[in-house]
Amino acid sequence: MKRGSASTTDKEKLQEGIFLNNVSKWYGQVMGLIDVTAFIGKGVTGLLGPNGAGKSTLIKLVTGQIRPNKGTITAFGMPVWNNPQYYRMVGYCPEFENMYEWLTGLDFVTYMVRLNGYGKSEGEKLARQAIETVGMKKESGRKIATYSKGMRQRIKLAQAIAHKPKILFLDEPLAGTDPVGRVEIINLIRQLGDKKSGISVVVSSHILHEIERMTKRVLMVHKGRLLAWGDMNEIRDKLDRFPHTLSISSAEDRRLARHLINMPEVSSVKVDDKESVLRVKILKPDNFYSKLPKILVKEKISIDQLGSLDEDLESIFAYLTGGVGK
Amino acid sequence: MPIEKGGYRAWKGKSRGLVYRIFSIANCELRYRLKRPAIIVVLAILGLYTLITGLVPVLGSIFGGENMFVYDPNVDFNQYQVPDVVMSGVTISNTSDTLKQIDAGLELFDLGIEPGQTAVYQLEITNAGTRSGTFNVMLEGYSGSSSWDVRLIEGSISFDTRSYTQPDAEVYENDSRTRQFDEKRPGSESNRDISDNQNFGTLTLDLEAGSSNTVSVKVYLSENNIGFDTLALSISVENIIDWNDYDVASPTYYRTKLRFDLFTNITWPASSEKPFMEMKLTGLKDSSGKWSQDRINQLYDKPPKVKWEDTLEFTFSIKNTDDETIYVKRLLDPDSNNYDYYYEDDFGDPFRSGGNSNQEETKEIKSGGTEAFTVYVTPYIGKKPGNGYHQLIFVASDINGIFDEDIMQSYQERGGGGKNLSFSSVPYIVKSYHLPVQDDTAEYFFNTFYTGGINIWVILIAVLGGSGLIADDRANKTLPLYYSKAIPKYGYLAGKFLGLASLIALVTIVWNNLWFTAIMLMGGFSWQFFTSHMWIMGAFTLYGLIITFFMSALVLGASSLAKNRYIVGASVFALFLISALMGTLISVVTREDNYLMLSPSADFIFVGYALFDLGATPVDWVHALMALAGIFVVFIGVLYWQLVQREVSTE
Repeated sequence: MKRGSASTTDKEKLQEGIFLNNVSKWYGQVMGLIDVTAFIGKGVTGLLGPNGAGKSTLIKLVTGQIRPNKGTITAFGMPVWNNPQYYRMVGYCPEFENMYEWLTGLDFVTYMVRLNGYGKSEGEKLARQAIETVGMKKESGRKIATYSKGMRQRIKLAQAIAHKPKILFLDEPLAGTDPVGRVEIINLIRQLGDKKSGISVVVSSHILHEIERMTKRVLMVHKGRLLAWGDMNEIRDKLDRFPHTLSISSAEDRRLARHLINMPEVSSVKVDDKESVLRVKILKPDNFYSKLPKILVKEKISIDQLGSLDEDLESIFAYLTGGVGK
Repeated sequence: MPIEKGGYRAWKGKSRGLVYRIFSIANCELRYRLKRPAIIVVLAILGLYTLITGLVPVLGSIFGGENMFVYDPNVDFNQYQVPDVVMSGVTISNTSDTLKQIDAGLELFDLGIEPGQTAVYQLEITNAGTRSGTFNVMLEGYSGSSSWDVRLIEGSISFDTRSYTQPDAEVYENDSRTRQFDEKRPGSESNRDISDNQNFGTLTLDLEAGSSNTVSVKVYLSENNIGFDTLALSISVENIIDWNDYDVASPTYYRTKLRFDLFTNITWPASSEKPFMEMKLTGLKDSSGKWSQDRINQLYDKPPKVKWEDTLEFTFSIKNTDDETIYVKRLLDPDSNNYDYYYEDDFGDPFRSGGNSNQEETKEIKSGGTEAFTVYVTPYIGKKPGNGYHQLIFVASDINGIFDEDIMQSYQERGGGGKNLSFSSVPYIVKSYHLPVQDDTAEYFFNTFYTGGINIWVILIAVLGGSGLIADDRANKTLPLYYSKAIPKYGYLAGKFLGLASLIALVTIVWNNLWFTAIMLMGGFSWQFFTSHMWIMGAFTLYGLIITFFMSALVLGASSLAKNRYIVGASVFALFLISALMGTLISVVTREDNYLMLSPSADFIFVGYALFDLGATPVDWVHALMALAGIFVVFIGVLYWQLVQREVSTE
């Protein structure tokens, strides 16, 4: 694994991606990002880090939302701050969930597409295509206010890809989605980042194995610093040895717990009656995530939410950096 | 659906220009936000606004209401029934007065009668229009004061029916129609008292176009009970309009009026208590020479008749009975005209300048001192307004050069601000045309559409439509979505501004011009009137632009400072309300009108008055416009800082 330094100064390569050169950003006394140097090229790049690590700051910087206090950022050879020419190439799916609740999904995406300079009919055509791509065709006529969290994520994703950007920034796109939706969105992101599409995709998440299912290339950020960037396989082995804790919410939590405890990847299951969730400690998360949907389908158990606990990710980063969790 | 290959390269070059994208934001704001309940409220307000400002007057005009709101001076009234009255003869007992004719072709008579005389006035009434019509002939009596017992002992009006063509006309004895004005007052043996502007009666007269009839009025003035002031009679002839016959909206009626004074005098009230100023009439002379003191004294008891065009020289002495030095000047109340009358000819200032009586001159009188004033008075018939009474007033002030109403009022409260020399012109005839002059057309539209400035509708619509435009984006954190699109940050600002401005302009420019046109075209106005008032559309547009830009900047600026649209709306209303209160309060306390500029709504009134050519305002419109421009710049600065310069995404 290579640590935060530019791997190349090849000008041609810089023209094909985003280059952060000794970038720092602070908010008053709080350091958001510290001296980050990295290159984001074609394909899917995972941006990994616990909450508050600096992922969103990094995305805001590379999308031109905020300016670095120190260092420079160039995208495809252009500055990113206040540069509409660059924004034209950007698709951005922000982290927040609030949108214009009174609009339908189709109107919202059309509105966003039109901001890129498309006319009404052309914008609507592109919006419909994008909505179909994210699997929201049936629900596109409904108001956003009626959407579930997962639907909102898909609509946000649709507005990000509708104008066919050259580079796509997805900030926690899987947050709040159900397992089936997760699989669909992950597949979609993998398609978007396919080499043939020529699109660069940057996906942020604090769930390691979701990122790993999308890409092998990651940027790991922790406490504002770029911890590592490179092939996921290199850190994979280390992570598999580290226990993860998941929270699973289901109406049939006790029945689900009985099935989970029989899985070899699961070391313990704890029923949290107070919060109505299962706290599942697992090893080899990859195997677990591939087996879980089969169990759910076979036993006809539905789950409402699946999430990784932040403190675990903190532990992982500590583990990776040789800290407490190791 | 599969992902299209090529990504950005697949659509590169299709995107349109920045201006288009800014318009897209504006368009999207209007298009997509129209689905919001607030916009439904906006539209409801717009509908109500339309109903009030436009539909009511239009319907009124369509159904021929008499309360039309504007006067169309371009309508040629000669095509309708236009009464014309000419004095064709006068007979006054015991006198050799003769008919006189002076300038401007106006026929004038020395019509005055002395107490004990009888006069018969003959008037020829002609329908000078092109349609047959019905006219009301009214006999009215006037007196300047109701405190004196001045009575018309006998009055009659008669029609000569020899040329009277009305088929069903009643024929009176001796081939004439007579009506006696001999009604007794309840509880009184006297005839009707005309000392308080009485209407003695009205007769109806039908006349074919171009035909004439004659009216006679016989007046006898009692020798008894002659008081001061003027006794006058007038005969008014006005047409009676059938509204359905008219294709113009404005004429309520058309009146020709002859007014002639029967008796004229000088009013010089007896001296009253004046704690600071004692005023005496010490001399008076006319063409016959200097009046004796006895004759002057008779002014109080038996005022003599005054000859017209005879210059009278009055000499007054004013003594300062106050403890302080006072400053005295002459003021002239030039006329007591009714402003809804147009005169065919006007009459001059009877108080001619001369001697030391110039209006501009102020005399200083020390405590206990006395100063003399000389005033030349000529009952002159000239070209200026002169109907009614003239008052010569001496006013005093203890502040040199300041004779404003407040000071005069304070002196009045102390026992009088001077003495009035009431003076009527000589007996004359005034031919007046009474037209339905109401509000000036531009003033009407300004006041109706803007309620005298920026109206509540515009504020409501701006607040409902604009308070959430940026505040919602901040609250929902949707700004990054905009800022990640292919528009610069100021493009976002421009788009929002344009969206709100379009909504406001819909009311202030489009709607108002639309309704103005509708009223003009559907209200029965002449095309000439419409075209001659098209400048009002320009005023609407320019004024609307000023309001639109100001309100857009104000509401958007406020919206960029908060995350709650309701706080934004309340703040905007509070700004207007508090600034208006403060401006008024400070200007009242300091007596300085310029503080009114603190209120944007007042500034809009001042600017509106200039644009609609409505006359002077307490504050110069340029200053008011600069005040509005200053607020506009401040809020544009706020917007620039909040949305362009600042990193909003760090919130």
